[in-house]
Amino acid sequence: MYRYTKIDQATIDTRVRQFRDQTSRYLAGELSEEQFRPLRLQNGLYIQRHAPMLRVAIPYGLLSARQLRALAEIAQTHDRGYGHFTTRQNIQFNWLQLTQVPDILEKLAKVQLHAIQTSGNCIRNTTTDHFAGIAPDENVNALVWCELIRQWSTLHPEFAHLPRKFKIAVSGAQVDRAATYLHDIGLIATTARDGDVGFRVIVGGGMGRTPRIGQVIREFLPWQHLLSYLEAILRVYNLKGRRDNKYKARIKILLQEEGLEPFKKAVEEEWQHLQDGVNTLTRKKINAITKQFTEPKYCKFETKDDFYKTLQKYDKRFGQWVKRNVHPHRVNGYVAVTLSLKATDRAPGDVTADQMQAIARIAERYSQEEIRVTHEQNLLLPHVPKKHLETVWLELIELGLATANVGLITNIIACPGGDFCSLANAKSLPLAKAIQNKFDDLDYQHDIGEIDLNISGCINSCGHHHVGHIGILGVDKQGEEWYQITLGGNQGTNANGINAAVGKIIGPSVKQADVPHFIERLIEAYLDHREGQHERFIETLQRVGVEPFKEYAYAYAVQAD
Amino acid sequence: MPTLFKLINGGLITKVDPTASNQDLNPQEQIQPHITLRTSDAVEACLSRLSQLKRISIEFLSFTDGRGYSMARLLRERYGYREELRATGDVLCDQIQALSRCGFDAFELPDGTRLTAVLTHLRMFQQNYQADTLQPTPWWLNVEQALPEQQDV
Ligand code: SF4
Repeated sequence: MYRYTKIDQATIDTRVRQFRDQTSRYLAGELSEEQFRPLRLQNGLYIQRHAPMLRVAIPYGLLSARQLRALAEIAQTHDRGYGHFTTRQNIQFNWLQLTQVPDILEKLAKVQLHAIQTSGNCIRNTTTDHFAGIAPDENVNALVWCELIRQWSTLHPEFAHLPRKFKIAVSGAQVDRAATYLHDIGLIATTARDGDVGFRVIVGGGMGRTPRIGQVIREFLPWQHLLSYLEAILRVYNLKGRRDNKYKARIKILLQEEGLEPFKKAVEEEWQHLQDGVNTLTRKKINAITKQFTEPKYCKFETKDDFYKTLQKYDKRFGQWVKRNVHPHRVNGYVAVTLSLKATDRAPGDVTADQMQAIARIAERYSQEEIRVTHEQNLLLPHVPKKHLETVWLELIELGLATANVGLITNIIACPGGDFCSLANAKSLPLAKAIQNKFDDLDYQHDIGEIDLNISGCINSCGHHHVGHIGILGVDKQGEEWYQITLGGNQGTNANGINAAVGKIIGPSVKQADVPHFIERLIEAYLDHREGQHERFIETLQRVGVEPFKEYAYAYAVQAD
Repeated sequence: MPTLFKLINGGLITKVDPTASNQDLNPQEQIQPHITLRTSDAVEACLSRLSQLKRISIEFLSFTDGRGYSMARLLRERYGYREELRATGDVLCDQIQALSRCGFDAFELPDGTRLTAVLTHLRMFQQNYQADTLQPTPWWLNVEQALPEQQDV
């Protein structure tokens, strides 16, 4: 866990005071709605369909048990007893009173949490691999670099009013689990032959109505230059990004309109002036940040760690859970455990206050008081001793958090959609539920194997439908909810080398009631065409192409427009 | 009619004659060369005359138009401009600390803006992470200032 320094604490405390003042000026009529809007957005506060929604930052997805308890308390006292984890490793509260928000922020600040820059046209919460620091395939621990970027981007005086929102993701592992090619800036940390860290810099990726895969503008940027280079990119974007049309304001459009080479040239020219300047990083700083992270205290276990494998053979349910929800750890004797927030009885990403308290307790006992938020809207216990695995499993079953579906079809990523969001064309949540019900049989899910199914209620694509192997997008047709289906999206490089990709629309939109059956037919097409047990959906799709899938799905009495 | 506030000697703010905002402070200043750039202009437009200018106003077309901040930093940090840099147009009190950190030292704020409010906003954050035109070194050169609090989260 990162522990705040004095400047960190002073900064968020001041932001709370500032926001309290802004809120009271708004309520007193001294600030107009139009003036208050960007100010509140910069602090994560939306006014949406039913009530204000507050988005709280969970920097790079790291949460302590104490912080989770504080979130539970807020859900209990100020909301309706639950919170919603998002695809950007944040948590949202959907039912707040505006007048209470300053008090909520004050409570958050006490546990080193805040809502700074969780929305608005500024640099947002930096996201990363939820296995950062513990993944066996890691080259560089991304957490330190994320924290550095957090500090640099927090209340940056020059970049608070960008043309549009700006998202940065960092990955330090061989497999890109942070979707770096789908962010305004993606950074992949690697080490050179001499062991020095550097970054592949990727710019211009993103989803929304013009999905783009980012482009590499630097193969290897030595770590000392990370911040000056980021400043150069941001300055070019701040000055040149379009401000006349909010749909064309993201950096991906600038990159597209300028062309990769001219854009690169502009950044390099800007950087010439900043290179070796005040933002050049030193080892001392990196060491100082590293020291602010508590080092997990790992034990050496004497008993044979892997006895759970025996149990796995005898208890099928436990076996399925281990297979899907338990992940390798770089330290011997430990594993990471995903808590699935995707049971059919709730919206993806929702957790009740009671569950939060219980998870905090489990984390205190079995995971060094640490929890992580994944961009698949699940939670993760990052440091679980293997010898406690069975106990943890039993406790999670009690809480309804042991659904063995990580990576499977019911592990749906879905945005809040029409039930909460005023921009929605469609209700993503009931649809997610209907699909989950269709594939309720866990054995069948395990047989289907790994697949990403993502749903967005509108083209803003908060549900990341563009990068779902199957993507579902809500569209409005004369007041009726229809869905557009895409195939072949992918969020990052996989172990088997499939690259990030945006899914393609496969045909006419489908009526809401027909979607679950349509998906079922796509799966049947896959099962009929896959080679061997282990070829995954996305691999079969890439091998045989989209045609058989279309045939299966549209041939069957689906009422398409 | 907006009210003009000026930073003098790096901290003090003086409220000057409100009617003077579109004019200059006194007849002597009036004849001094100045220029107004809009946030849609490029700062490079005034470089050839930069050494003669006594005032550059950057007019914010909207307070959410962040180009003015980068323009100010370029003028101060890259092109070495030392004279008055004034933020005009749609400017909010809440922004003046960031504006001043980017190099602005004069602000035209909505009429009726109180001096105390301006001072509060100007000094809102005591410490900042980033280097800027006021604080030439970023926080990590002052690592000593950032000692850990003895508290785990
Ligand atoms: S994708 Fe659209 S409907 Fe869903 S949360 Fe985002 S804006 Fe709302």
